Amino acid sequence: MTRAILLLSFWQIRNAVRTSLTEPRKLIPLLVIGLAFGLQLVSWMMFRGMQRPNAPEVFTIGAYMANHAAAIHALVFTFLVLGALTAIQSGFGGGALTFPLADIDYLFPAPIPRALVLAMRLPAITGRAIMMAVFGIFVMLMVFGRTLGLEIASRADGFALFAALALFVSAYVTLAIAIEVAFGTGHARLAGRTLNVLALALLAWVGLLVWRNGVDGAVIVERNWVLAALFPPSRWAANAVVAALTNRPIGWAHPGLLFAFYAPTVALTLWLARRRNFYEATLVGSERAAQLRAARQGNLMAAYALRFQRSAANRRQGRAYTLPPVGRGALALLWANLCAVGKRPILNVAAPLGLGAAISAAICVYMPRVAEGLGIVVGLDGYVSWLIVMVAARSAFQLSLQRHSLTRPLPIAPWKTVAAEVAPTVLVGSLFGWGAALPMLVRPEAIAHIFAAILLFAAPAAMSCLSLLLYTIAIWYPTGQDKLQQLLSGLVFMALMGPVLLCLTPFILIPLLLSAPPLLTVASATFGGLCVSAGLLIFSAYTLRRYEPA
Amino acid sequence: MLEIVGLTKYFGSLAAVNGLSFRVDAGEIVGLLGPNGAGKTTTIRCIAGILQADAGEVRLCGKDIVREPEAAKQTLAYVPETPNPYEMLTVMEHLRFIAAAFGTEDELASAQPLLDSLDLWEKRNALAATLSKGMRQKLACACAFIHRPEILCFDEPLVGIDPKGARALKDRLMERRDAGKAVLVSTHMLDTAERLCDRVVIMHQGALVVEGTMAEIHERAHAEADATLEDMFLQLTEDAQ
Repeated sequence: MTRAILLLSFWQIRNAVRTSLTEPRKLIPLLVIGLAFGLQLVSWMMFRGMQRPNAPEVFTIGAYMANHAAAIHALVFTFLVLGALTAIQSGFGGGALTFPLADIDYLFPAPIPRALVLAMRLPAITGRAIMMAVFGIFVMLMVFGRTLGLEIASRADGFALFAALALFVSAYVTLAIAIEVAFGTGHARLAGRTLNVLALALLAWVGLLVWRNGVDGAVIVERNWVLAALFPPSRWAANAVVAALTNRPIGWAHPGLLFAFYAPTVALTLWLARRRNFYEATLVGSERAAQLRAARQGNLMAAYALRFQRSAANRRQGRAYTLPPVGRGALALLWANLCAVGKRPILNVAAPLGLGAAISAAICVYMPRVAEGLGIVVGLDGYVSWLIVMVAARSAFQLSLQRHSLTRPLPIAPWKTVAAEVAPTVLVGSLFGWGAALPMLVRPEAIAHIFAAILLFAAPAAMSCLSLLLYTIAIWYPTGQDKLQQLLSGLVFMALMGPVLLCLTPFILIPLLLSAPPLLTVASATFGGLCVSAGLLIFSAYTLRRYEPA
Repeated sequence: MLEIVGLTKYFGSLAAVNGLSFRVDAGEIVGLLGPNGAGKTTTIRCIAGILQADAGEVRLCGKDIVREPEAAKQTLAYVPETPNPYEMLTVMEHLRFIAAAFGTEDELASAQPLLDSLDLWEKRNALAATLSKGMRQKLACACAFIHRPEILCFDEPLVGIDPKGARALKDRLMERRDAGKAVLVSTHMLDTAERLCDRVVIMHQGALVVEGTMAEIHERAHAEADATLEDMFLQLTEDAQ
């Protein structure tokens, strides 16, 4: 039996490595990422031995931490207690133990003891959790620690820190699995919710203490005997982390204690797995994980939407609504796409609008020099728009191309189809700026009105340029699952974005050189953005006409 | 061989299966029929030990699936409704894994004729990730046959399989029946069930509606002489509603 599972794992790993090394579509992105990471590592190794310049007056995070070691220890302890609570909550919620769907079909009905199945899968599950929770932080500390003044004393200390964090994560992930095996799902939701409330209460308490007494106020949390008694592993892990952050030797005492907690947890979990049929409890979580994985591979936003839909459906069942169709032809398509945006959680629309308005209003009220503050808002709007383009737009466009077999037979000109598909993204991307422009409009200063005009008109025009460029690139590289296509589309976008934005500069520079009024410059920039958008729209429509779905 | 007594399974307050009892004896093919949501897949998942019954018993060759899960599963082959193979395993590696899991590696000698009959031999070194849906279904069936089980439970095995593959699969099932094995097939294809199955079990809303041979079903449905299984199925499930 053990041999069968070992063979299964060996074949899976061997074939995955072989496929990655022989398929260019997988190999090239791996090489690019490996090269970027390798260069960073080489630079760290080259400069590691060099003496730090003698500049004691320079502020470093390491020095700050050494001065506030007790408070930092309390904050790290609190963070790790919250991590432990989250892990335990996932055990009650039924999401701690998930299996690949193939395991459900092939491994669960096989005559292999349940404890053995779990024992063989446990390293992969905890390994994944360690990679997600610890490895990134550890590598960041190793690579950027010197810049921040955080240097681990020796290589042995580095390993001790990693061991402590890995054992902490493994112990609580295993404990969560033990809870799921023992209680199953659906029976312990109240316990899960109670833990959520406790975590929020702890967070609020720490926030209140820090707000009242500064960072050093957090020490009170650590002195709480209930927390200290319930979460000793969090204290041991915090000891190791704070020793590392304050450049003190770490030693193996804390990893040893954590191992002493981890080993019986594993034994308890396997003993429970022998006695209880935990397969059923893992089905819902496994299927949900598989759906999310598939969605994430194909389309990032689809994964988020799925997660939102599930949680929203749990909260308010049966509150789905329909909107009546409006218009004909391209207008009907545009309306359908806008309805789709509106039917996503309303937070997608309300959050950027409200956040923009709130930040801008706060700056208008509190900043002594309004012009600088509003400049920051415009910069922030640029960043938010950029984020939306990079994170959401590409996947939204790939989704719209998946619907192309439905939209193509419609009697709509390709340029109108492109406009109807791109407009919702431009709209969502402009909401933050429009929200931010509202408080500016009520300010008496002329400069505030100029910034408002930029946010209301020029920024959406620039956003439409970038969105149309991205839509065209999505037509060239439509497959979300293909890592190589994703990498190439990103590189092509970065390469073409410069020339596209360069086309806008004459519309800004000429009015500036002619000393035109600022509002006229904004109008010119908006006009330029619309002209470039029109050009891109024609090109995109031409590309779409030639597009053949795979 | 396969005995189900008073099987009950709840999902929350919904009784997906409610006091279901039937048996599949050696040397017979039994069709498990019912409309969508009748509880067929839940029943088969309880038989395979994936779901745990809230009440009742499932015995495979006399072994209780709850008390002796490993011994009971040793006698069973299970094919799920939607095949989810290990994407990073080849067709042949799937068979080797199943043979190793059931401790029947000597049966691998029969892999070539088995894969040949299902048109999978040419694909034996292909990763499951590259297989079509029909091929994946055939692979799941091949895995079920490779370890020579006493009881075979197939959940919608013919969906997505081409006519040649479907014929090969039906031939295999009948061959196993003739070899004295017990076969339970859940299906919506009533004409296939009529030709393939020795007996049928019709479920509706988690409960047993009727069980028996075609002649017995005919009698209980008070159907006309030329009535098909489809006619009787529709009548019986409507009556049950």
